[in-house]
Amino acid sequence: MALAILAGFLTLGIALVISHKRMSQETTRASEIEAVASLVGSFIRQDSVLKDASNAQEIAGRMNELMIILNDTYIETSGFRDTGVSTITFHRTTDSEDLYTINYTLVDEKSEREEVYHVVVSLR
Amino acid sequence: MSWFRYARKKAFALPMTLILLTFCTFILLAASSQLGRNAEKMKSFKTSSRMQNVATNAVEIVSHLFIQSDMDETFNGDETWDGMDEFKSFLSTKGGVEKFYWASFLNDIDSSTSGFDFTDELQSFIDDPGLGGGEYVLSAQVYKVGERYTVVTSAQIGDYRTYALGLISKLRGGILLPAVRMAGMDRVLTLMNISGGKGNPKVTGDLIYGGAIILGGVILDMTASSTPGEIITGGVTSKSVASDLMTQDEIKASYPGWYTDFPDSPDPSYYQWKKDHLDSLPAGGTDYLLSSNHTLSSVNESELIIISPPTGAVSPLFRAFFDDSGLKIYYGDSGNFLYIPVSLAKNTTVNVKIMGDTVFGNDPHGISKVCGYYNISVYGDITINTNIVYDYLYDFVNNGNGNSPVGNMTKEVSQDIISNMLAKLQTSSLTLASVGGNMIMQYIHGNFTQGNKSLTGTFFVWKDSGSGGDVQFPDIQSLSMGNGHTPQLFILGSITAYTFDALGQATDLDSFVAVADAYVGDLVSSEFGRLGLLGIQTW
Repeated sequence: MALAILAGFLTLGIALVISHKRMSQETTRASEIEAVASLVGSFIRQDSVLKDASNAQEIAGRMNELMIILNDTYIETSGFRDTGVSTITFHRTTDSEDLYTINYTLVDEKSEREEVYHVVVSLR
Repeated sequence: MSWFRYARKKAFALPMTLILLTFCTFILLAASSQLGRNAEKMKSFKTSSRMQNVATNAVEIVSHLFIQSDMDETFNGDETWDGMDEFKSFLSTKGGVEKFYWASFLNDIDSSTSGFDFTDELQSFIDDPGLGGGEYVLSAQVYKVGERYTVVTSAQIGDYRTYALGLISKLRGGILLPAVRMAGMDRVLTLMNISGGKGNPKVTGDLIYGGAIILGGVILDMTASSTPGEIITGGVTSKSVASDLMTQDEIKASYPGWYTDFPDSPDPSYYQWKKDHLDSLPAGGTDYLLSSNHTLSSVNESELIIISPPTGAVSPLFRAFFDDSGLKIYYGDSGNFLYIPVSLAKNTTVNVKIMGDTVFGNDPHGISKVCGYYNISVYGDITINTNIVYDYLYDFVNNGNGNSPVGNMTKEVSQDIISNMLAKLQTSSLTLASVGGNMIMQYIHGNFTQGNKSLTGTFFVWKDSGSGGDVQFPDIQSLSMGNGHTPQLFILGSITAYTFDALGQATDLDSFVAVADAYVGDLVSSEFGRLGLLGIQTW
């Protein structure tokens, strides 16, 4: 009986260790994704070219450029791997033509999960 | 008798099993609790990160709404916010040196201070994903602090709360001028270093406090422990950035937002700046020939005061003098002058156009005090043979020793001195532009504190028809370097030029400091500025 309980504890323990390890990895990964989200958000918020855009067409053009800049160099040279931006879209936040919400989707290429983030940017 | 047999006999197995069971139970409990803790931490981190983003977005939206509302500048608001004291106490618990600056900035504001409550306006956009789609409780207040406005927003979910603070200030002509704008600049910008005693600091190195646009490329000389932001604090827009320690890609990756790539040719942008400036000047005006004396009794800010030499003059040279009584402009050594009394310049912006080379001041060591609002365009070279200083900043340039009205303070530039200078209420302003000429800095004089050239104002050096556009230092190499003085060019405001020291004369200029003015004073006429969001801090 005691041996059976012991075996049960051991099984549970091993399962817990595996689960702990997986969760630790996921926590690390989630932290990385949040860091990339913050990095990309700041990049978009401070982008002078975007802030100087004068109409929706120029903003759309800059969105395409931003995708290339972020995916080709910026995210990787910042030390993050297996993460990319799959889409960047925008819409007017208010009726004003000078205030836009930029929506960018981050993809975790390891788990193939993705999440959308939003940054409000006012044009100059 | 073996140990096993002995153990069985003594019923050793039961206590051993119980011990193992207890041990395993503790391990399982500890591991589960750790798992739970990790999950909770992660959740808090994500929640906090999302909320900070929402609070920052809220500042963007409220700033926009506030600016659009075109609020009367004399009105400080009439709504109070109970959460202000809580915000200040929240701020005091946060790390980072910037909390002290913000705490000092918000010193005069508390829960009884009147401001503008923008919570309802913000709530009307609550469904926008940038504000969390209704998931958070949001609040937004705007307060007037001096000549600026500050926006405080908060986002809350359950017991979690974050704050963001934005600063709104006047931007010149709709654009906040960076401290330095150049088509090209060959000077290697070196990290500032200060040695020597407090009374006689040896300041070497450069500092651009604010943004810089150096279109043709910028070169930095850093130390291993410094960052590019310690030389140009507000970031740079340029074709390239070169440093002794890092590659351009490394700088871009390590300091996001600091460097903005500008791949195009510098000339079109430079000439656009020039066009923007010249277009902003009044189109017509009144001519004054300096073949006789003129003392103005009134000025119209929508008209130019055009000062010309007597008919037939060849290579005209003007001499201009600022002081407490106003501005006097002489034609050469003729004694003929035009005088603008300070009483006129105190109430309106005086627009002056001088048709020839002009020398400001007659003593490179002296101080020309600018009292009032001036916008001067010189069609020719500008020689600065003085220190040009706003009246309210005089004490930052003169140390009071010997009661000599001279520029004798080498600027040991620090956050402290900059904050103090920028905090002064602006009661004067100067825009000084050379069109088709160079801006010539004169230094040589006497034996003491040589080489402190302090200028306050917005300076433009426009190249025209292939001439001018350079900032020059023709006599700095012959400056007496006794007592280990370190020649410095200090500018509070902004300088725009085609080139900086194109002739390579300024190798002995130990320190170049340009501090962007947070807002401009020539706002007697409101058309010269509009409000804009300068920056956001989130906690």
